[in-house]
Amino acid sequence: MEKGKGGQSEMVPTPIVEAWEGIIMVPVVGILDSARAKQITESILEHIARVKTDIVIISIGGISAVDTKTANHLIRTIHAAKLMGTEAIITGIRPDVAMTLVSLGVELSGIMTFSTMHEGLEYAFKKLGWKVEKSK
Amino acid sequence: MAQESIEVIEVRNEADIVNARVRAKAMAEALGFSYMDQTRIATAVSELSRNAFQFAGGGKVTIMPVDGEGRKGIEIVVEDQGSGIKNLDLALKGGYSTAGGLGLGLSGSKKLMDEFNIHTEVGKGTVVTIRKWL
Amino acid sequence: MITSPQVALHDKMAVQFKDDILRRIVETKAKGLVFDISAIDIVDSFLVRQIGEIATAANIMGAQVVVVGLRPEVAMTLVEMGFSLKGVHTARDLEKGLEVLRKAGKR
Repeated sequence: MEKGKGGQSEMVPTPIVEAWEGIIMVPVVGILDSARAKQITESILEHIARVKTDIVIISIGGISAVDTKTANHLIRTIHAAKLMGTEAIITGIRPDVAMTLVSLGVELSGIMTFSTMHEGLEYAFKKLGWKVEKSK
Repeated sequence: MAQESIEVIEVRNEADIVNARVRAKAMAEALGFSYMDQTRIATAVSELSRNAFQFAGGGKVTIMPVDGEGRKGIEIVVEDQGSGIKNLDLALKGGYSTAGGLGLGLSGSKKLMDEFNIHTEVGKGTVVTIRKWL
Repeated sequence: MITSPQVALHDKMAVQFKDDILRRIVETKAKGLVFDISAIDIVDSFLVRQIGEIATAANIMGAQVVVVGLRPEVAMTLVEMGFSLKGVHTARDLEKGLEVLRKAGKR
């Protein structure tokens, strides 16, 4: 464990949640500092190298603070995942937050972002050919 | 416990470029860098030694552990006695890409490392110092 | 047609390898090339250029190229350095790579 100033972010590594066949979720909460971002990058990329993964849903709705440098690092992780054959999408990003990030120079082009987990899941299921039906 | 010491590699051919990056990676690993960082360091060394080989006919790569403000790190110096870089700004912006890589290698290495220092003098040569901290 | 450099591609070998591959594509009239780089731990601008040249030449000869098996560190370093593997498809593994080639071939 790295020494750090922020107590919360160093304590528990962000988990990789296997949600569905080919779909994993990464729930990021609290302060996203560079140490945590590094850990998330390594977890995601190591996982998709080991386990066939079609989609990674990175949920950032619970983030309290992030700087542009760290946001850019996350974006680069998404591009790296794409090179490895996995699409990483972001959920929990409201349109106004997305616009703020873009105006700060964060490159969101080519990356699917959604306000809610619901929308993200919908996209993932549709892309992978799953249909959700309510049983009578 | 073995002490990591200074390594000096003369780069005179393609095999030396490979050797330089392998040695850099090995020292990075010994110092405790993550696998990701080992790769960043080795890639930067590969870029810089290749530049020295391609554009200056060869060079010298020195790899050593460093201490700075209570933290440990790795430092690599790549020096050559080539004709120097005429337009450093352009090279660092990733220009010279048509020349086959000088700019790409320099700007790429800079992005991978924590510290990047370059001193070049037309007619004399170039010295690039890079560092990464744990 | 499938190719898989099982050993780390050292520089001079990479150029030789490139020449061999291009010749094989012509000889076999291959429509696709899967380049498995899962054994390669460091990809620098030189190697990226070789791969790009293979892809360009292959495309001219009517073959699509897909690179598979990028390691996490390789993928991340490429992105951080800002290199684009333009004109080169990438995929997770051989199976997905062949799928990509099939789709690309249909266009």
